Amino acid sequence: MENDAGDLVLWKAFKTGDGEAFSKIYRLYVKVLYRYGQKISPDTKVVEDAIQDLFVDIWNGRENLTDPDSVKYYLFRILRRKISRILTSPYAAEQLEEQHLEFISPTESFETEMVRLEGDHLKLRKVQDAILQLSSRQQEAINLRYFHDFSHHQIAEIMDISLQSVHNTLQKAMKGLRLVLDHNIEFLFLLSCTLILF
Amino acid sequence: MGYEDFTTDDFATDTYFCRWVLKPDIQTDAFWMEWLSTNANRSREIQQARRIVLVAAMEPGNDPTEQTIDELWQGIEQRTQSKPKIIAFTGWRMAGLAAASILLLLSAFIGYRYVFEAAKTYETANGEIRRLQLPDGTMVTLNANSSLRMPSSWSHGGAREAWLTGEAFFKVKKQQADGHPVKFTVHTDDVDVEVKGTEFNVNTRQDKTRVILSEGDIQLRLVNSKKEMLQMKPGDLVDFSKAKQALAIRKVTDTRSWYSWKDNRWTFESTPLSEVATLITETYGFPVRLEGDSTGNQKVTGIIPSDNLEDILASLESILDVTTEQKDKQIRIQPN
Repeated sequence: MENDAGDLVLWKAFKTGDGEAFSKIYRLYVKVLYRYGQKISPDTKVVEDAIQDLFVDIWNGRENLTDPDSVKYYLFRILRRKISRILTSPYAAEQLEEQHLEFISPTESFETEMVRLEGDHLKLRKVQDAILQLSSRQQEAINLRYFHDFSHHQIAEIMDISLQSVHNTLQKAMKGLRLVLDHNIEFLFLLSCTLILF
Repeated sequence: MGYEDFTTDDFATDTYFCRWVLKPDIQTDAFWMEWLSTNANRSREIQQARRIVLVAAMEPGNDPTEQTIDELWQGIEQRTQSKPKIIAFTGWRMAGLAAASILLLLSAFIGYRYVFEAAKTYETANGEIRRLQLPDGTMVTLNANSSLRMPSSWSHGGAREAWLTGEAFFKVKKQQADGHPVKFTVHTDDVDVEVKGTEFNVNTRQDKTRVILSEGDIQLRLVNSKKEMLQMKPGDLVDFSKAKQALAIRKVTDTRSWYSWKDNRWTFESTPLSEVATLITETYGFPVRLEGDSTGNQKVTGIIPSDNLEDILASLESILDVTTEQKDKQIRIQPN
């Protein structure tokens, strides 16, 4: 994951106080940040607060910022710290606890609970089920690696765990996915995958 | 440990393998196809790992609504002192051709076309995506059911031209001759797309030509009216309708999502199921029957793996309240 062409130009303009560049950076990354934030906390209010804090912070501290190799990676790291901080603050813990009592029994993850609750209307199954059956940590690592295209090293930094843990988590997650898929989907159709020889 | 000893899970977590599955290019394609041909007994693991990686890349999360995005931004503005101003990003914009500059081509077109003594044609079948490197270094990703025709070679510094039906993504290499940039032209039935070095997507399906530009500049010329020319900027999407014989231009925020097909994924944002059905037919060649009156109007939002029909149908079932059935080379989608 490195900067796309133009990212760094925007970043440099933003650092000089260019409000338009700041707005563009926000628009460019708000969706991916929001999506990633949901992996850390299913509470969208927490994610939204963290995103706002993040952008206010970088605007206020813009003059002291360096030029990151990847703006996206840089923003993801800050977002995770922001969300962790909100979640570990005493006030938030209280709030969360109340919500948990309402929605979540201790044995079920938030997502499985949602699937069960909405099961009648929305058939979240097969493929997407497979991902939701993983631990939230595995889901987060998978999200960073396969959807957002971060390297193992970057994931270690973002999640604040060792490189070895990243590797183990991903390996376990993929194994989990494979087992679920093995059970759910006939591999008969695999050969219809398009692998084209040029 | 070499790839020979890899298990399915090892492949699925290997960086180079994942790059091939999710962001394939000509090098990774060449490497893995070569590897598969010498390790044919491992094709099951490879296929299995491909599928797992594609599933892992699916995102069950939700995008924020435009309203949320705007509200969050207003909050940020209020809390930052210098109040950076909002700039409009989305919305349809019709630009009359009058706004486009008009250039008289005179007789330059005569002698312009190549005589195809030994033309090369690249073609793709149902469900097939092919990556090509042209003699000048330009990379082309040819979508399913498409063809690209070009002379067997280009003279250095001479015009670079190719003829497209179907859909393709181009990453054109800049070329100079005598200090001047050499243009690259993609011809379709409707328009000529002229560029110097840039990335863009051209789609000639559904009785129209659609061009999406992500980088650099493009000049569009109507085939029926060589005098008319339209200058495209990054983020522009242009449709030329055969029936109306008219161009429509609009801005899109995320050009990449429009050609994510080249990375084996389809991106939908409130896309009617009927459009998804058309896409399936164009790509896999099977007719899709939508049962029920409003089924076609159901909206699909999400990113789904596109290189396997089974996965596409399973994804639709998980996103919408529908059941899919594939039988006798026909697909049926019905509400539950």
